[in-house]
Amino acid sequence: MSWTLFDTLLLMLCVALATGWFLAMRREPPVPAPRFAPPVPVPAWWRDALDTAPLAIVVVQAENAVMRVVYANTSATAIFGTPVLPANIMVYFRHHTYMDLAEQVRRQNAPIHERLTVEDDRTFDIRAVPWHNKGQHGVLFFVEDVSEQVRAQRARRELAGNLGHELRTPLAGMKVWLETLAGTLDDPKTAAHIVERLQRETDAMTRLVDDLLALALIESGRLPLRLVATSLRDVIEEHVQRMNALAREKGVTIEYEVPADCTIMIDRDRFAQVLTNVLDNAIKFTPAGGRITIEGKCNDEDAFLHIHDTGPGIPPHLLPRIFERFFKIDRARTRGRGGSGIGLALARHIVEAHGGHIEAANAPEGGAVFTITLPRT
Amino acid sequence: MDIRQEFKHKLESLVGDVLRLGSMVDVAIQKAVTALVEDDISLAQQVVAEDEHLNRLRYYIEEHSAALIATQQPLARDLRTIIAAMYLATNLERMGDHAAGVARLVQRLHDTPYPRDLLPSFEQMAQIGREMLRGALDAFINHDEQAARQIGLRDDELDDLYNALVQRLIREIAQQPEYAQGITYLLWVAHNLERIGDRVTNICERTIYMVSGELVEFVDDIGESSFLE
Repeated sequence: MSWTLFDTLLLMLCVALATGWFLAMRREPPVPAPRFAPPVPVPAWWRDALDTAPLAIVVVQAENAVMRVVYANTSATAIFGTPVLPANIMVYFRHHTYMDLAEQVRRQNAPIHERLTVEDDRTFDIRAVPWHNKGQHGVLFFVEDVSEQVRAQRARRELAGNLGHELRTPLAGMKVWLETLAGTLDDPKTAAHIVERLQRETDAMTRLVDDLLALALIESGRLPLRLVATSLRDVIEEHVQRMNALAREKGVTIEYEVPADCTIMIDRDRFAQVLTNVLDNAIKFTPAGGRITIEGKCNDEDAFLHIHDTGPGIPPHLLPRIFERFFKIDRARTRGRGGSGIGLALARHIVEAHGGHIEAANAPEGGAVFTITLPRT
Repeated sequence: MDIRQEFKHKLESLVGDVLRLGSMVDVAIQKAVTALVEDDISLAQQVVAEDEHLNRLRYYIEEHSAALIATQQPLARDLRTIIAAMYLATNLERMGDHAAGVARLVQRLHDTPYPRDLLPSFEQMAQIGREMLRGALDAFINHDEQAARQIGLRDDELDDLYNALVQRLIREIAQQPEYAQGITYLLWVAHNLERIGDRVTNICERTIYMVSGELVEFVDDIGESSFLE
């Protein structure tokens, strides 16, 4: 049998077919278009309506183990950013709780409600609901940022707890003194001493309740200020005289230097609370032999008061918290000094109600410096 | 569903699981350090108990990856992505172990006195570690080589903090020997947090390899010399 031209052509055809098949097998098949798409075509007016909702609405479509976010409204974008959709559920939410919830909802085919706290003290109320439509299915997320409500609830709880603690401490002292008094009525000298102590405890409680009422009024915006043109120097002089007895008892001196021609518009009673609380705080933290210096300055627009003590200063990491309600630098150390932890919070609120501000810092030479800035008109 | 589509879905699911593990580790580190700062024993116990979930997810990712390689025979970038996913899962699970390590030390520190003013430095270390972790996972999913290089370099920041903290803790032991035991536990807490940074650099190195095929090794500043100085 001889090799013919036909055989040669047949061989060439076979080689060409084999090469073509080989090349075709090597080339990757085209990637099919993603099958994920919004489950129902959403009309523009309906999309606009969803975008005005204050609630984040996110639609997750599921196909076997893969879950993808196929729609998110404007509120959702504000919380979760703007990844390109459709996006894998983990790529979109970046927190495993959403994937856990989606899996649970799919398993149980029932809605779930959960609260999640994440970075920066942000809390979200999450409702995950299953959906089914013409053979497609997935999970619908409604997410609401409830950080403000949660913070307010916590503040109320802490306020109730702190208030109970602050009132119970002087009350416990008074109870002990009263029990002692009952047993010493035949000793007038001891009884007089106990009555004096009781008077002091009652005064402290009265001050605390007054401060709390003022704070509550200011925070609810119901504190009317009666602004009167007042000499800054007169106010300081009056307060230094009032606080001098307490300072002398502690072995601390108070000095002041305020220009005579500086007048400011203040509510004298409320501003008195500011000075009392700031000076009281400085006296508490200044050791015997120390000094408190009050320096006043004025320009055309503002008046400035620097109150500098020679105490240990404020730990730098606690400076941002010093004006918080019920905040104490060291509870163990301040307990014996009779501080309730609301004096500086009240001072800040009153100064701000006057349109000014108060700041705390540590002086380079040591000690704490409180600076009060008030507009003059 | 055709074979290619099925493979793409499985690969996406695998990457999703890696991100899920990363998020679980992130939360574990945050809880461990919160437990330390707030001396919260029940939160610390929760972190230790939840470490089991991280281990299980790591093995699930490994099995899933091996099954994909065996059944789909992926090539080029797909293959590198699957290998990277396995490597990331191992490193993330180890980071979870470091978080659980911190949580165990919190339980020991509960009954041991130590100066609590040292704690902000630990919060700062954890914060940097978590930022690096989130950045590294972003770089991984976005195939972002440049971002991976930048995050890898942030480990120096963590190492500097660690070195300074170790020196301070050693000084504190010398000045306040009554706190020696508590401060020793704190040294281990710092070590666990520093190792989290190292694990993140491993993830960055692997991401760079996945994208470019280039082998990069970020040099760790924590060596014997830093302890001996």
